[in-house]
Amino acid sequence: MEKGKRTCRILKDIRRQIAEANDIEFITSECRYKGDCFGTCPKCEAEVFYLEQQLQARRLSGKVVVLAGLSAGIIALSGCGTDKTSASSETRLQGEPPEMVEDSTSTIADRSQCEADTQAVTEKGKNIEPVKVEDLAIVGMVYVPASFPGGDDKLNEWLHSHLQYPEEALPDSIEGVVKVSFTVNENGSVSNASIVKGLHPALDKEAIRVVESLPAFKPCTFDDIPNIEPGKEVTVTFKMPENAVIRDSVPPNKNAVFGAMEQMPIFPGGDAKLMEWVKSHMQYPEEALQDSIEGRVVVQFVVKADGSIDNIDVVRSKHPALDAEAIRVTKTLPNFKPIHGKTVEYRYLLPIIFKLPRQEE
Amino acid sequence: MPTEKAKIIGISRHRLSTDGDGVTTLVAFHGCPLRCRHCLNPHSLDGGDMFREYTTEELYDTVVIDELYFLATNGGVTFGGGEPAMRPGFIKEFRELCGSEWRITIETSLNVPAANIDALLAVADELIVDIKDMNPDIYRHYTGRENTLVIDNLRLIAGHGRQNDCLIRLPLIPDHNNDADRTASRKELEALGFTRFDLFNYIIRRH
Repeated sequence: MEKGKRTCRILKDIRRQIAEANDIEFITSECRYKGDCFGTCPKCEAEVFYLEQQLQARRLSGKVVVLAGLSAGIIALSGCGTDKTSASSETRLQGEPPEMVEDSTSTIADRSQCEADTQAVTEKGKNIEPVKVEDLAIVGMVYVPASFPGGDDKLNEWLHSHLQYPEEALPDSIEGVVKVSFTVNENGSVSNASIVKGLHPALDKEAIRVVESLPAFKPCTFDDIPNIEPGKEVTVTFKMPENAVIRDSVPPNKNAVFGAMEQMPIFPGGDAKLMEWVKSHMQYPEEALQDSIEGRVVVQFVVKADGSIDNIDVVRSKHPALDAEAIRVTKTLPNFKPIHGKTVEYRYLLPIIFKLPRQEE
Repeated sequence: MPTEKAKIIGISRHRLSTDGDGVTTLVAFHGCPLRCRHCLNPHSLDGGDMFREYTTEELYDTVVIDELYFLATNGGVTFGGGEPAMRPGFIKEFRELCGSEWRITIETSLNVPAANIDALLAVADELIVDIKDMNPDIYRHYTGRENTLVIDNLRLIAGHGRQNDCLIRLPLIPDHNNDADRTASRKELEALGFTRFDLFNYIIRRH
């Protein structure tokens, strides 16, 4: 049980680090789970679910996500680990009571203190099943998904009454459904609509337009605290208008670009490469080294349609020297991949973490 | 391409630094060519029936729940058992599913055909090898098998220059070897270019 609690603490620390590094409000409270603790429980699993949702929302809105290797040192710091140096001849203690099944007809060798037992998958009731969203309500972190005022019926009514069958699709006489996914923000507003299953370029475009013009939802809540929910889906149904006049002289718009809203300028190689670039081009300012200053600076910049970067600003400052270096290294970023034919601009938030180099022990 | 399947005797989540860096999930395979006197997982031996068969997809779906921790701590999946190197195809396919960000560690005896280790070197980040003893007589006495394949595979790993990705565990096994034997084993391994060792003792519980 002790080991389980220690594992739980370490995993919670990791979750906290992830939340901090990505500017996510971390909702956590003391564990009230009554069962046997192996280091995780439905509440902890719920926190993982929440973090993954938040990170996904950030990716979708173009923000850089900090995750890889973020908590790499955390287990060593906690004091439990194998000794891997070639110079060591230390005996590792193996005196723990057996967690393995003991066979009375032969002797069994034990392993180290830090080892958990292997849970036989065929043993009933011992496997910890992944938590489903419906289960979250039972164990203390109450999750309520975002909802449209009046419910799904009202949502469909609203969509139906605000949908305008695009003229350019009339000659093709297309009827059917378009599946759209979107994000409901913390304030209930709708954004980031994108096509999950399309039907026709003009219809898709109209589906996006009508979804993005939806009035505010009631946002999702974790323990009554409003939160962002990406990946909500809605089906938009298109039927030919009864009084439609089909004018054969109007050619269908074959050049319509559909799904335009989900196209965003991306850094060549993706987020991971962006972080790599920043890491490898960053030069720790001399002044900050001498005064032992470290911390996080968040930089904001605009990516234009041609992929170039402009309007670099520090939105969260740490220290003038670190701020200046954050701006300098952002200026060195190569262009993002351009989006042709668009005149929109995208705003990016980039957290840059300065960590003082550790001395070798 | 047909989906690979494997018999798994257990899956253990949230292991902290016992089987590799970071937070890892241990997946233990059924089946092993050795018959060690003090086997840690005797129900992994052929003939036992406490296992469940997984496809690579099913296994991935089961372990992906901890992906957040894998990515944050440079952790991932450790394959043990049993002898995971008897299932290189399964592990290769698993790597395709989980991508390059997860760390894959393999706990193996190396007592498998060279082709298996060759295949695994391509997808594994680290091998953890409990070498038992380098002396063939001591090895045979403890495991019931010859260690020729083990030596071949050590040379294979050295040939690929991957010694640094190998952690060799050198046990002191009561009634089988002593400190002098262990030192001799270590010297042989150092001559092959291995530098990462983990020295430890087997403690036998007697009834």
